[in-house]
Amino acid sequence: MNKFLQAEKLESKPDPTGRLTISQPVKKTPIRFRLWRERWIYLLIAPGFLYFVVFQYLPLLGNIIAFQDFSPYLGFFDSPWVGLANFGKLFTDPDVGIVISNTLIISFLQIVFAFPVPIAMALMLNAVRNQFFKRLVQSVLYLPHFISWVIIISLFQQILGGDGFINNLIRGTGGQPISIIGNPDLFKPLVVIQVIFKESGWGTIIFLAALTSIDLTLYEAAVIDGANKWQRIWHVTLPGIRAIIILLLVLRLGTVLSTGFEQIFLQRQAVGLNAGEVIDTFVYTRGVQNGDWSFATAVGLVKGAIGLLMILAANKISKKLGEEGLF
Amino acid sequence: MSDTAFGQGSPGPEKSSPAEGVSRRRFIRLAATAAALVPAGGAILAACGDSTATPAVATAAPTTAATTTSAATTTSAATTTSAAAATSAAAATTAAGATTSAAAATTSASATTAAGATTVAASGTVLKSTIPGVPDAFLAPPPPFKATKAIPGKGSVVKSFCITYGAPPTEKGSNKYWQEIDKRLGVKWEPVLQPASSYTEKLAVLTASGDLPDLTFTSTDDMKNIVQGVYTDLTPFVTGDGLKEFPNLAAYPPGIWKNIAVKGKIYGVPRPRFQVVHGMMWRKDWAEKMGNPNFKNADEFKKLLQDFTTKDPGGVGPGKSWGFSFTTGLAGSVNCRPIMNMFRVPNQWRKEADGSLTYHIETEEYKQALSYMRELWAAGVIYPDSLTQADQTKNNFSAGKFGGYTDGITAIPGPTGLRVTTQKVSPKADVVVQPMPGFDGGKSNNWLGPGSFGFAAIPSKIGKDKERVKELLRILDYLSSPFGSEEANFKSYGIDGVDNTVQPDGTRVLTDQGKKELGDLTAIANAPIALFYSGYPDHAKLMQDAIASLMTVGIDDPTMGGFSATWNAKSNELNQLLIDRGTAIITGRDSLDSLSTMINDWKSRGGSQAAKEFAESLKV
Amino acid sequence: MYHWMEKPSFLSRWGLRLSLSLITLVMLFPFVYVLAVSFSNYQDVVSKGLVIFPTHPTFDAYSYVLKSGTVTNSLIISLFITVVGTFVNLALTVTMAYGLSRRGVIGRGVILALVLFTILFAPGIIPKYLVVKQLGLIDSLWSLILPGAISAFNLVVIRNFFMSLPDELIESAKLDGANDIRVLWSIVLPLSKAVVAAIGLFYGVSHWNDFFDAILYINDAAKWPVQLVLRQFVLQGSTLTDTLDPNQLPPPPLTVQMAVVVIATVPILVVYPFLQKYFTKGVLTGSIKG
Repeated sequence: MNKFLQAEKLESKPDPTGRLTISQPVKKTPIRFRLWRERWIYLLIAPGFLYFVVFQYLPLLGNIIAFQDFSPYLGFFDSPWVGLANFGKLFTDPDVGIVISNTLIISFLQIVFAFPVPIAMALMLNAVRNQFFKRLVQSVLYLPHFISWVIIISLFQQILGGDGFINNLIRGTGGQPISIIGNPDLFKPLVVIQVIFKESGWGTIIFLAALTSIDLTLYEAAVIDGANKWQRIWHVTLPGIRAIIILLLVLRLGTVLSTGFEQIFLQRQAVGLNAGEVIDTFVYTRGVQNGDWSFATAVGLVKGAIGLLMILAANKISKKLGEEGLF
Repeated sequence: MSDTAFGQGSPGPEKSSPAEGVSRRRFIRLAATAAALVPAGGAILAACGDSTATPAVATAAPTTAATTTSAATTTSAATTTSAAAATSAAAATTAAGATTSAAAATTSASATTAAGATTVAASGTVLKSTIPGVPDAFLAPPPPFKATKAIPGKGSVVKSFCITYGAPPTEKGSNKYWQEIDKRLGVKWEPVLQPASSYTEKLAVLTASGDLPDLTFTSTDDMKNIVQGVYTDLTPFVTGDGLKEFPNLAAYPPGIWKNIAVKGKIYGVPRPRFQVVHGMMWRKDWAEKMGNPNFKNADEFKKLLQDFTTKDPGGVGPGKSWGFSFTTGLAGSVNCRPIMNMFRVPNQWRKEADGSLTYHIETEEYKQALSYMRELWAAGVIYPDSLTQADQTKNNFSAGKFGGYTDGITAIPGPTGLRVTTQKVSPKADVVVQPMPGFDGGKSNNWLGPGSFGFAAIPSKIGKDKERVKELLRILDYLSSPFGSEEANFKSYGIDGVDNTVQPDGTRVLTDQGKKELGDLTAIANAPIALFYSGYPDHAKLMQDAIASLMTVGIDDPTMGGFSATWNAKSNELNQLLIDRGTAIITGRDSLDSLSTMINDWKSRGGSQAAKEFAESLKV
Repeated sequence: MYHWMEKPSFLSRWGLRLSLSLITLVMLFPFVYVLAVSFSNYQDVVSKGLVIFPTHPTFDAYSYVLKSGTVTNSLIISLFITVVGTFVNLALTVTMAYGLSRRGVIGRGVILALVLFTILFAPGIIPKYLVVKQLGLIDSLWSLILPGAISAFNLVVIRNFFMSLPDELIESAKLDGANDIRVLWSIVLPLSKAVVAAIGLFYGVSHWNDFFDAILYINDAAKWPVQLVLRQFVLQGSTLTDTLDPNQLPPPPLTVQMAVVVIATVPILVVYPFLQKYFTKGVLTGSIKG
């Protein structure tokens, strides 16, 4: 123990109770003692708390414009109040049904097919023993994340499009070109595949970080118990990163109504709104393009409220399954 | 495009990978890019302007970057009348200050002569236009002349806010051009150059915070705020006798003022553009090779497209070329304009004898055009990746993948224009703006734009001081000096000998320093655009001919200068409906009969209401 | 290789290597394409379409972009924002996450709920601008750092890691008299290098790639970060068409666009190998026993 710690110990003497009660049920300690005991914690929380108040909650008040016909010139105070009209506009829109169903389907496909990919990749990387190869692969995997959607989509186009690599090959051999890009039936799977391609490698980073926190002695113990390679993955590795998987899954469910804007915006025209319009692109045409800030905000609030419900439900389920949950 | 819109509850755009959630703001960025992408995506709207009655700052504007603006932002600002007059000594000029101009022209002409070698006979360098709306074409710049009488400013700070498409200029401390602007304008010039991709957002935050600068570039897209009174009514200053104080502004074609009016009032100084916006980019060499460069009707056009698809016009092997490409996305009403034009579909609206308005999709002409495009699609002559290529249309055209597509007419000329870039790939390529025949062998039409791109407005807070308004207008007047004037040369090319070198023929070429210093510092205003392409004098003639042929069949959108609150709120939604359903019909997903459903939906979702409101506003 | 690991079979070892190599090749493809196009000339890009090797290599696109006086300056600004910004991010996120990870702290649940709430409900750009303006941050580089000082998502992730650390470690340190700041610094952080590195990378990359805040809060173009400046090259197409010397044409937009991607991403890509060591080895071995 160094001098700093010793000094600290001396300084803290006036409050011996706090340290002694740690293992006792907290309820018995008077509040002010508990507050005093945790003073360092509050000190650590304070700057972040201040940030959230100033840069998140203060401007969040501006979301009242969801109940206004907001005009930047008239401002928050003078813009006319319209009650729930903006929400009404959303729910009476003739396209809202198809838009929500597209969004949910794409989101669901992403959760089922794209969400597990980084986990699998992280496990594969974890199994590689050659450090050089491992680092090389890792460094390459995250590259697509840095390439913009325009370029990624253009590449997909050049390979799978009507005038793309594959179809030109087919034409060259006298076959009938196949319609992949621009085919409404394949749009949703295609979107998911693009997401897997672009973001999976980047997604492995957090799981790789989680994997480092697994106590290696656990593997040793498992080997002694006779566990083979797959059993070790199942009984040691996965439980070791279970907490982060569940956390990310719960957060993902909270944003189930967000599917990504740019990627879909760039491609939906060819397949039509029935296949390709999602909430984010919908808001863009209805709200943003027209400078209708109020409508865009109202949709945001609805998305947030649904996300909140999803998170609460997911949290409850995960707690029932014996997990810590978010809160 | 904003936190409000997309930031809500989205840790990341797609949560497939957890890391996506790292930055909630990323989504916003994505959204913001989108606006920028569309243009990069092949100048869809730019090409054709926006299909709404007015150019949109958010949508049409960025797109224009690719095409229309390029000429304007930097150079060839010239006016039809005054410049021509000064050049050709035929002093029949309508612009005020003609006498001074002429005088100045003489003196500076001799100056250049002394310095340089050639004096082209002034009359030989300009091809005067006789058709209103068709600009003069310059084969060489005219001898410089003065277009303003005095320094416009009075030493105060002038802040401006303007859209920008270029890299930012070097900072003022080391920017000689910027320092010289201060001197020549007589003010402290402090422009905020706003990237096009998020212009709307920035305009909104500035409006909301009461921070709008003295000169704010905006458009009729900002309608809600305009109607509520955010900008000064400039009508008394820019109409009638008021306009005489600003000779260069007075030289604008009168129509463009009317086209930006909101409820009869003018709230800004427009940036003039060609009224002819779009055209068919066309491989004339292919058409010649197929033996029918002067196709006369829809059938012959279709035959030609079929030949392009099957007869290997580019000589690169069969199956590698197609007839025609839609421009990304907007298949329904917008980007097949040349085909709409063949069938003489009205320019957005048709004003009926009783004053009521019919939207173009309701007309028989539109139905015919749609049916024709459906045939073309079924015949396989349309480039299969027309609707999905992210930003490749221009490149694919240059690469010889198809013989035609729709773009802004300014995509053709100049060193980076399609004419030159296509020749890099196929040296014999002859790329032109192809005038379309009527489907029946008669005439086609052409949908004219407002003739301007946004306008510089003065916030009402600042507008209370009449003298200040006049000072600001004098500055805009200075920046609108016609092509060839000393002022325009300075605006576009900076300081002679520092930012540019003057060539013997009078053209100016930017130095490396000039390229860094100019940026879009003075882009907030410009004169009507002159046709002048340094190094490509033949392009000027080509463009003039193209514009002339399209202008003669040009028709206006009757709702320009009209007003409809419903349209302001709904136009994007309605437009999307047409594009979506139109695409479905053309590509065969929907039957031609579903056009009637489309029309009914369009009407019930606000179209009918908008038609009524426009008609009402136009009666006044 | 640890002593308890059995030697993998030939098949499984090469199966793994092969499949990872394949994935790697696929993932490498877009970057190879971007690089190849950025070094290609117009004819090749246009007529070949899918270029993966520059047949006629040229630096035109790069020299065109880098010639602009503002690019170098903007790189320095981005570097500042990324370094200082990431430091601020990590400092605020780690301290708050630690505070919210300790059990028995009064109000912890409420504060956490408030944080999570901001993932779901975000403020609009107009009120946010007004706050930044009131704080006098317009045209200050701090406007690119402070308004995004904590990402609630990252905060929750780090907190989750902190909570998974064995309680005994922290309690015993406290019994030894260490206060929480000390515990965080000497015990929690050393055990959390991997996640802190990961979150630091997320923050760093988002600072580096950000341009939207700069668009709103920075009026003075001399203070634009590199992404914003470079985007303008992509947007501008052929702005200077008429003022250019016809013999010195700008390179075609597509190659410029790709060169811009390279210039904008390579500096941040360089960071990764330095962080990589934190992701590759376990940290907890023996720490509990010891």
